Amino acid sequence: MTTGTIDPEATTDDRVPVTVLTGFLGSGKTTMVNYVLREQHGKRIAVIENEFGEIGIDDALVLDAEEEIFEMNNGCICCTVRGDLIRILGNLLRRRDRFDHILIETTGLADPAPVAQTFFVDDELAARVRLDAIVTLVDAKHVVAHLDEVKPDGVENEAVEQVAFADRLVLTKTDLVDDDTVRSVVERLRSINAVADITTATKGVVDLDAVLDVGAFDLERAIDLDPAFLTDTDHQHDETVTSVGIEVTGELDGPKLNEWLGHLLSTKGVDIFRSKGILAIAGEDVRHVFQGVHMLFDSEPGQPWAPEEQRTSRMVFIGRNLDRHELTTSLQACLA
Amino acid sequence: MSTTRSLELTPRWSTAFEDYLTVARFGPDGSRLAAGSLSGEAALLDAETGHRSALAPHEMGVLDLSWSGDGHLAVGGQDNTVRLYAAGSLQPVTLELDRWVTSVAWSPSAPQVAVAYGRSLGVARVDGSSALSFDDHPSTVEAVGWSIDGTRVGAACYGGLHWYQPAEPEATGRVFAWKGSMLSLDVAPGGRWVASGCQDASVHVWRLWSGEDLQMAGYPTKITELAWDPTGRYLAVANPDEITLWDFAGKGPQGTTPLTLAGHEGSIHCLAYCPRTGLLASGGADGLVAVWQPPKRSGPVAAFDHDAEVVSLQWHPDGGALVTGCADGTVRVLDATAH
Ligand SMILES: [Zn+2]
Repeated sequence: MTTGTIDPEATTDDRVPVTVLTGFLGSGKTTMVNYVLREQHGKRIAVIENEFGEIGIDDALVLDAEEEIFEMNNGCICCTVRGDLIRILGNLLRRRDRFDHILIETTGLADPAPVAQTFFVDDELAARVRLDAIVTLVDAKHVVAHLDEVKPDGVENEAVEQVAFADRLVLTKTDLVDDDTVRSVVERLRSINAVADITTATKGVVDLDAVLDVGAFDLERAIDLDPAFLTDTDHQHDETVTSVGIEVTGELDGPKLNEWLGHLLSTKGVDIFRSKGILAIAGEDVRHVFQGVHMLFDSEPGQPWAPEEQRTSRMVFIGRNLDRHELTTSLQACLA
Repeated sequence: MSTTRSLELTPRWSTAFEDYLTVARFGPDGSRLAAGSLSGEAALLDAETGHRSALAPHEMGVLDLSWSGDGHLAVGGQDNTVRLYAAGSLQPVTLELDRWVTSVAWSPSAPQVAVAYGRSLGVARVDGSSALSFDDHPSTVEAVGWSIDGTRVGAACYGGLHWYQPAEPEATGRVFAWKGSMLSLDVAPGGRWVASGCQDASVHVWRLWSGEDLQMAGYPTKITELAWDPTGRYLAVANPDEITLWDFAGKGPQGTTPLTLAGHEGSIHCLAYCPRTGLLASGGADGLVAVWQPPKRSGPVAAFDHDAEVVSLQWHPDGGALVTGCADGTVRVLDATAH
């Protein structure tokens, strides 16, 4: 399903923000959830988790969900959603009780795609909640072993997926390793996901702004890219999961761009986990902002260009088998 | 079917529940109705006066209720229970289950009720004795329903509609398959067809019992509201702010263009045909209840504005009134007077 649904209500945003918390068993998710609930004085938070943890906070509602993943697009393996979330959140949002934030904790081995895609696919949910960020907790001591684990053919390495999907990576248990290890872990995470912010947590204590109201799915947010990342050629056409950032100067032809992106995501969407872009379209006074998870994407108008401003477009792809050269020349071919 | 020139909707009474009114349904003789809300309140309401008799609450909310033809009532909720009230009784038999009760439906031919809970479809007798349970569906069962003669019971879930014969529980069930999450199950009066709305924005109508699948795809969003007219010829589909009407006469609707009924300014949440007059009522996010007379006219013949989203709707069995339920918890009976 390659759909670009633009919800007019989405721009006047009183929708409830949703944070998706992923991370392997032992990465400290439950500790983090407890910390967030304890520190969020006066905020009503609903937590949806797959197994009841030890949470007992007055202002929080904890709901147990049994993960139900189903395919949406006549059996396409990447177009999956969480049916249980549609039902549970649907009921929650109908209530008179209003929540300030919804926290969804996934199981350790969960692929974040079905959770994220649920918010793209179900219009009823999309009108009431907005995906704020996918936050992945990474255990500094064990993550490299998980990332290096060789899986049988066709089986995804879930740790790699969780890092690739993240908008925010939170390093935990940094007190158990030395600084050199932390540096090499960060470098390894960067090689997979070059755009997620990385922060650290000690014993579950993290800057709350780093996990709540991140606004990573806020399409207005600029994509801040390290210039070096735009020219990095280390990982050309690589079977491992990497990030590719592209920048082109000038205006893009709308129809050409639509055709290319539509084709790219419908044919390569299984391999492209995340895509983001801020685009200059010919004849438009405003930026166009773009977000995709596998084959599903949204785009909408963003901030206006200043009158004399140099028009540039930036795109980021995170996935497998990414060919920087091909992606770059394809985007350049869309120039007006 | 009578020919209605114009119809007036006037409020008879209204009463407030504490939260989102999930469902309100008249009993078979029309003297009372049952209603439940996400606050967990459930009650019987006198159709004339609105006088309320409380039923046992369902903590975290009532999700569905159903009346049998002889006045038994089943109420299911998010507290993992279904309560069965034998006709005339306010003392329920409570069945404790292990999942939310998402849908309940009485058999048209015997005093037994189908109950959707988690991935299971259970069948229970009115005294609460459990007759059967069909488990391990591919996903949570979203809706249950019976064939016209009551010999088969169906479950809508991911992957299609699963059918069973309660009288022969060992017999292999049938599956009307579709790789999508089915959200409803509506057997047409007359029993020729079963319709189901899908999360993937398509409607599937299977011919009973050949299993031939007619599909109506290309809707903007998931299909939650369907209604058959009382003759079983027309299927009304709400999506999102318009109603499309498919004609199943002759070879069926494939390749035909449906009639469109437009007038709502927001998503349509509920549809109900009047079994007596054939009039169609719709309620939506815009607070409007509109009454239509398809296929004769494409504009509404009557309308009534509510202060909140209309989320539940049903005709009185005599066709002279409607009950509406709103997102703010209001239950209202509207007199429908023809001129
Ligand atoms: Zn796909």
